[in-house]
Amino acid sequence: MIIPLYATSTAHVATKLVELRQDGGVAALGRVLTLIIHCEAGDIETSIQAANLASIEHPCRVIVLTAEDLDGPASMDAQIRVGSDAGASEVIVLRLRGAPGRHLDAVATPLLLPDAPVVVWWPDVWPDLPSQDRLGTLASRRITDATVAERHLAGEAGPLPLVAALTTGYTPGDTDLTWTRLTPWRAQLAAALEIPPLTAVAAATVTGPDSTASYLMAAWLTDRLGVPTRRQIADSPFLTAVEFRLAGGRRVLLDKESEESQAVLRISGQVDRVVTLSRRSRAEALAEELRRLEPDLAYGHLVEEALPRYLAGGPPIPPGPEDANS
Amino acid sequence: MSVNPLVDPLDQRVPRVPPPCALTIFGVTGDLARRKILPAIYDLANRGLLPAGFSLTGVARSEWTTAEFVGQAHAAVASGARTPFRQRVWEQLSASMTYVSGDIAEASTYDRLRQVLDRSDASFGTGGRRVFYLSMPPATFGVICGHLASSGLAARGPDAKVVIEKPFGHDLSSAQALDATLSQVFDPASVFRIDHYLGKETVRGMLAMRFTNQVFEPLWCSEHVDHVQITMAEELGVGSRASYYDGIGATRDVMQNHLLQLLAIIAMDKPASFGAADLRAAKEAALAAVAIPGPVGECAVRGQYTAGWQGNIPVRGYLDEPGIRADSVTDTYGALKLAVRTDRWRDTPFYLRTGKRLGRRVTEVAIIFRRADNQAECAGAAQPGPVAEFGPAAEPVSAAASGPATEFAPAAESAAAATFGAKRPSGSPWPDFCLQGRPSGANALVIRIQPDEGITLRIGAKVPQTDMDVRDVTMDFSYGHAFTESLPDAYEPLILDVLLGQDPLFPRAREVDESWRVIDPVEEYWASLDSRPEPYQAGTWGPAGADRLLARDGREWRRP
Repeated sequence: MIIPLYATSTAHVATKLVELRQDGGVAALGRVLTLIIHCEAGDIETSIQAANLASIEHPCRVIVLTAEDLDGPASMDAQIRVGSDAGASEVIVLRLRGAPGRHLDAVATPLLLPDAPVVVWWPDVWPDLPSQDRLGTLASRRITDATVAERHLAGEAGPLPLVAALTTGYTPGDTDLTWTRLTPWRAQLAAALEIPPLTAVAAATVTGPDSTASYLMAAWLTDRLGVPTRRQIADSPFLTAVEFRLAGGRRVLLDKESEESQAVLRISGQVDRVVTLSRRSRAEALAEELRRLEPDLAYGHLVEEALPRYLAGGPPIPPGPEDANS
Repeated sequence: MSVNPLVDPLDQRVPRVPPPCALTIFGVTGDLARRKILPAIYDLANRGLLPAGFSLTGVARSEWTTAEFVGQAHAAVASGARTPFRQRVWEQLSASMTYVSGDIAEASTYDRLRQVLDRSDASFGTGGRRVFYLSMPPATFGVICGHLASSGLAARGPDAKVVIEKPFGHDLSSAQALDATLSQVFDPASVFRIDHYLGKETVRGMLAMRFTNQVFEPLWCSEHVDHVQITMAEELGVGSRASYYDGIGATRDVMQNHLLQLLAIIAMDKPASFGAADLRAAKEAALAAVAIPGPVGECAVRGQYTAGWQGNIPVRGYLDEPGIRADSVTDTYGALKLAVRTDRWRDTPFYLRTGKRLGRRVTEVAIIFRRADNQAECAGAAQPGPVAEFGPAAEPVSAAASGPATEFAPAAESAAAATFGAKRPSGSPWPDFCLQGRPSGANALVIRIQPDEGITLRIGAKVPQTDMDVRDVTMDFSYGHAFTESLPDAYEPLILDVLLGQDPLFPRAREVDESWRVIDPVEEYWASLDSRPEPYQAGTWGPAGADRLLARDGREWRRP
């Protein structure tokens, strides 16, 4: 059910939400968070769809904000979506024109769920310093998506400005869906190193497009393994392979060819093994992101320390004491 | 083992993928394998959580080919899997599947199995690691384990694991014999006892509820808890399990494992940590403190269902079920009153009940708190009149008469007392509040295990436009509303734990022994009787004797 409200106010929207709950019990009570989606460049429907799917795992109130014509006359149109149009969430779409568009925090505040954590997601482009942004200050978790932003900013300076933005603007609570999409890769790579015979890694190569994803993966491997990691550029929209050269010359290759959901793990002297390595939808990535609402310390370390060090091309740090015996 | 540099304890996103292994399921044509195990394995595959280097071998008596087995497995996955069906994932999984047809008592079956597993090491890279899942009656475990050892398929050590399902014996001595059989072939740490009713999610949910909420833990003791009721009710009758069930009964089938496990989690003290060893130690200590508080005959009730109506469907009685002896004295219902002999629970009895053909399917734990002393039922002494008459009103009035200085205050006070009975010496028997309806007046915390996993807190609230009438109301939390709609089935995380070799919550032999120590005297007592189990009509909440069990203590069962 979609209820349109034209030239409306947040107070009216809030009243309408209470009415809907009392009349039909439409909105369940167990919502665990408020998800604010601030769309600038992209199509809001695909973002809402992703949020609805993610809400099946994390029932939430979704507030979608768009602002345009900031210098024009002020007005707000709204939609409330519940039931089959809203997954396990209730979706409030607010289209702002004029000055209110500069005060999105004030627009969102009366509609936040009491006590529940607030997450802001910028599905396409994001403000310079998410944690300083007006919406960002409302939230304990701020989610960006450099992989989508790359497409909007394509053809300019490659991924480096975005990579730099991730490193300079970081505040605990920030994450980027590019990192989330690498989780299945990282799980398989970690498992690959546990297949005997266990040998230390001497060098690593990440093959894929010249993208934020390949920088994040290479910086992570360099940091964790303490060995040089090369980024090899391939003409593909997604990462295609990660290879480890082990001490003694053996190779471990996680090779994701064109296949949608699988990859092959090739280890020298062993039979090839097929593993499930699915490409993740935005909804899946968002659902993983909402599973933990505390700052991701490992991501913080990556973008604050490992990534700048990787970009500086400095020598890889030697393994720490706890890694010395591996 | 060396530290994997790609594993970072701070990095909580990355799921652990198990090392290569070959999984063999004995009894793969059975109901459990079809409904639960095979779909769970597919779901793990789909989530990318099966090892790189995995094979699945089914062993059973049916003369199937591998192709037929794959076809059966496909049907099982299509109807039972939680995650969406993906053709490529299925093709990959089914390519690793082999079926071995044979008698588990014959050595040749194990020769063929060995060939299959050797091939699997060569072609799937399973690396000699083996997990044997015995989805079979316990009577066969000795034979299977003997052959696994003599054929060299399993040797003590981390590379061979075995998974068994309850029942873990039918009394203490048989449980110990079973453990001895398994221990001859497998390390104790490599024996995984699956109790699927208590999946890890459920147990962890209960641990989190108890130990992260400051509002509960301080109340978790005899001073505040009057008693605890643990219920596992089934709608189903004995159905196709007749040959197993008859002679075993509800108490051995359910009470010994599921209900005593629930009791242990509710009754235990806070473990030193939530790691496997500490958690197990805390549960074992709780079980070791469980005792039957009095003559068994006064603490145990058994029943057997007779014909009746399950909702709108007529059902037959237990003795008329196919495969049941006409003179069977098997208990299809069991209720126990237990004490937990620890400081925490010195005055709090635990009442456990389970049965088939009860009112509805439900598993829950109800913590019933003590009643406040300032309430009573509406019809009785709680009426304002009597309170004013016999209450503290008399004293202030006489005080007012004797001293001019206190003209107003006492009069106001007595007026207040006349209205609400509110001003009274502490410890007075006179209630401030009266309870409406069918009063319990006691707060209750109900932990729902299934269906609709969640928590209900029963509190009293004042009825509008009455003086001080109070009615029971509930506050409800449902995991299904607050979190996912699709919690993994218990089997999925359980199987993953087996493959990873981590067993935080599987019961070990000592827990099983402790629970039989509680149950054995009850079964022995019942076996010594000439009488039959008390009949109860199908679709009701059990025999009258179970109601009397609580009535003797001035309590009653909650209707779940």
